[in-house]
Amino acid sequence: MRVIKVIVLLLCLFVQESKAQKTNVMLSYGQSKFIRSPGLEASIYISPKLGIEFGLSTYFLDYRPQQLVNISDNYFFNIYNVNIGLCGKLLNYEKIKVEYTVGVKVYYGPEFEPLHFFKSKGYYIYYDASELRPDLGIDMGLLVPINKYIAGLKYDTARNKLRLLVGMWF
Amino acid sequence: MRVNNYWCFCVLVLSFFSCEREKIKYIEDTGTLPQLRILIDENYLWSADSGLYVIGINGKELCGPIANYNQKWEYPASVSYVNKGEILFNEQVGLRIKGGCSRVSSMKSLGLYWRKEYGNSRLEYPVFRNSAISSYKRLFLRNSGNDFGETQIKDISINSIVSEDANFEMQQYTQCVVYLNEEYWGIYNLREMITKHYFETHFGYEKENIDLLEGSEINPWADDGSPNNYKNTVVSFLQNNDLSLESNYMQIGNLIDVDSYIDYIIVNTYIGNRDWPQNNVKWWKDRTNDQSKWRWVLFDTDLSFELNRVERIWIGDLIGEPFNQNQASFFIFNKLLKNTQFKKTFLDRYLYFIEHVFDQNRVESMIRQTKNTIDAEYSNFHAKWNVLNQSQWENEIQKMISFNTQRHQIMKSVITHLRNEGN
Repeated sequence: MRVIKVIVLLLCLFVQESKAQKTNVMLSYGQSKFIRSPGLEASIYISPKLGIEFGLSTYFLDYRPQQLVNISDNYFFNIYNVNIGLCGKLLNYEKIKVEYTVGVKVYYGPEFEPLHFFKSKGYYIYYDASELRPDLGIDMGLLVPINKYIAGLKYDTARNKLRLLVGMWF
Repeated sequence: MRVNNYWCFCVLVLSFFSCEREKIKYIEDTGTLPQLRILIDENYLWSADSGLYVIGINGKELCGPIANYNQKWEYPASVSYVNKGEILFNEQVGLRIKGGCSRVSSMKSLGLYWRKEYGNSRLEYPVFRNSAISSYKRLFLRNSGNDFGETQIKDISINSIVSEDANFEMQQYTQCVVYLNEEYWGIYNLREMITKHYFETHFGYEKENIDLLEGSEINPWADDGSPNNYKNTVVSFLQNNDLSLESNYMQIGNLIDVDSYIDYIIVNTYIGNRDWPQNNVKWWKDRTNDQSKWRWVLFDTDLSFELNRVERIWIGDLIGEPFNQNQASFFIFNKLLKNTQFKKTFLDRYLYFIEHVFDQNRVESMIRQTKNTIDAEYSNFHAKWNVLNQSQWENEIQKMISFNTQRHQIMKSVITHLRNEGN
């Protein structure tokens, strides 16, 4: 509980501090087999070159039951992943501006892996490899501002997934 | 500047949509365990309407989603048991998915059914080296139940720890690797199956005469036989008689095997089985044999030996708080407890189990021995099902050992105290 209080306090301070700095607010989207995962991300600069970045995403399942042997879906908790970390300016050279994010990401939710190729029907059978265990890993990304907009791509080592980001900066 | 950043963005988007890939892992076992190779028409496993193994479109509700794998479907298959290249048996059987809620796991338990219509009506082979039995109607390839993806050895370890001393029925086991249609399928525990055939094989009783009961001790149900005899004799007697009287205690001893019942309660309460007594209770009798008394069967102890619950104690009315609201399963125990002789016998026997059966060094050695049998194979199992990695798995095994180290002290103190109170 104390940790949560400290994080909330720091976030409030950062938000206050960052009023004069840049803020990116982005919609995010990731997908993997049978999973569509929209989310929200924000990066708040607390100095001209450094800020904090955090995000959260949910998921929707879109599967064919004949292609699955199990699913460990938690019907009451549809948070797919959360991440928190730092962001900063990576490159500001002539006509190219690139920002980076780096942090940690935790997944909790299904993860489908191919199990068997069903030859007579010509499709793969999948299993849910997650067993609802949280997966923790490094989350990193690159962002490119375009006018008032910003777009980017993130990769995480928790489940080796890519995530697309599109939003605005203020 | 705009153009350059647009290009950057396009590259990122293209990377995102080109990253999905399909790849089946090819795994070969280490050869340290016997192999059980199953061949079955792949439509019986994977087809949408009748595939045993998939969620499919013709399912039944049990746990998790409505799924084909909850159905009691049985399909013909061929099994061969191979050890170090030598085929030990090759048989035609019926194959089913088995288990309760553990069917929702990716690696599912499988039942092997010997029937005349497939070939031989029994398997004639000594599958379990510690057993004198060499003839089987049913075998059970167990995925370790609720322990799947955790220690993978919990139920069989408890089985090996108590088997020498405990006076109740258990399922023999051996560890093996399963190949399903030539694909590596992981480490399974090959077990006996508790059906009426088990009692025919082990005790020579006619299977038609077996009453095998399950559920509540007051109002049980039977897949094999009927609960009527039990309800009319045992339940009726216990409800209408005072067990503190020696004559009544002697009389109930003619109906139930009190020694079997005592050992059964001791083991389940010591191991902290939290999937009991509301589930996983079976007891049996030959209804035509006057010498046959009701005896108990230990099975599915996967939700026990849990370090985070080491201090939880519940032995009916004797001590502790219920783990759940269903107290009916301590019905017999609570009645018997009114008799001082029963209470003394129970506590003496409990202390014997603590000091001998659950001795800390003995238990550690037996758990490590069971673990060592699959140690070399474990990395393949992890690669197949994405379960705990080697160090996480070893940590789970260590928790089992730590559970017993602490439980031994806690229960010794509790039972010694209760014995001294009685004296």
